Amino acid sequence: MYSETISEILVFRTNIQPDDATQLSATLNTETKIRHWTIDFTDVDNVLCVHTTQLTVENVVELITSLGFSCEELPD
Amino acid sequence: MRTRDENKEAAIRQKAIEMVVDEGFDGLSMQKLAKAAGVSPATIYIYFKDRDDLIIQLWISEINKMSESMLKGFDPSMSFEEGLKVQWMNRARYSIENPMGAHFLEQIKYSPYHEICAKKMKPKFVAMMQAFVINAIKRKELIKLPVEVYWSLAFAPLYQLVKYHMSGRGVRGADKFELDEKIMTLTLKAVLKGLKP
Repeated sequence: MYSETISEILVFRTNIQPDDATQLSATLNTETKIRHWTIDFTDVDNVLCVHTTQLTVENVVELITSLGFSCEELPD
Repeated sequence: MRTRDENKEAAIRQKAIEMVVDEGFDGLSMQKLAKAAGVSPATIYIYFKDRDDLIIQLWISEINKMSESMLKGFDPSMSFEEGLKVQWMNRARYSIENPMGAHFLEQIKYSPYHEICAKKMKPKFVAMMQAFVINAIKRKELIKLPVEVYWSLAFAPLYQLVKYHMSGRGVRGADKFELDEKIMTLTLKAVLKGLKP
């Protein structure tokens, strides 16, 4: 389970709002190490899913928080 | 390419329905669900796009299950009395055997999800129910009524009896109540009387 999560989809609890999507897209879409990403605005945790084999949890947290959002790994 | 694990998906679906029934829609979060189903949150997002998608997918599989059980032995060309009896038996059986699923469908009905879900209703099922009513009106076995009035008279008495049955108690609380075929036939007879021209 752990290795599956780490190698494919990383999930985070964030405070990203639908209005922030444009700003975020600009960054995430140009990050070549991210294959695909989505945000679940219908969930209470505004869950960010990042599909990547090259970035670590820490990398993503750093990236998202540098944009001014809160971001922490969603625990299992 | 990751393959779908049916056991995992089934566990996610089962726990999600339980969560909505026990705690309402606000009580369902992907993180809580992952914990309850014994999977990682990432796994849920393999199967479902987001929380709303999960809720709608749950509705689709549950409504299909209900429609299937409702149409068992049913034919829209049946006489009104016979067809309604088959439907009562099927509806009662479904509700009693699937209390969680039945409750979940009710919750959707009175939520903002209802509008999205209603559009995904199988047209075949709706058409069969309509044909049954139109046939009965043509044969003068049923009075013409607004659909909500028809539904309330034709099915609400049954669902109230199912509720008593599920609680195991009748109107006065202390009395034991069990919905059996005898009670159902008695009620159905009274309902048919009210619906005949």
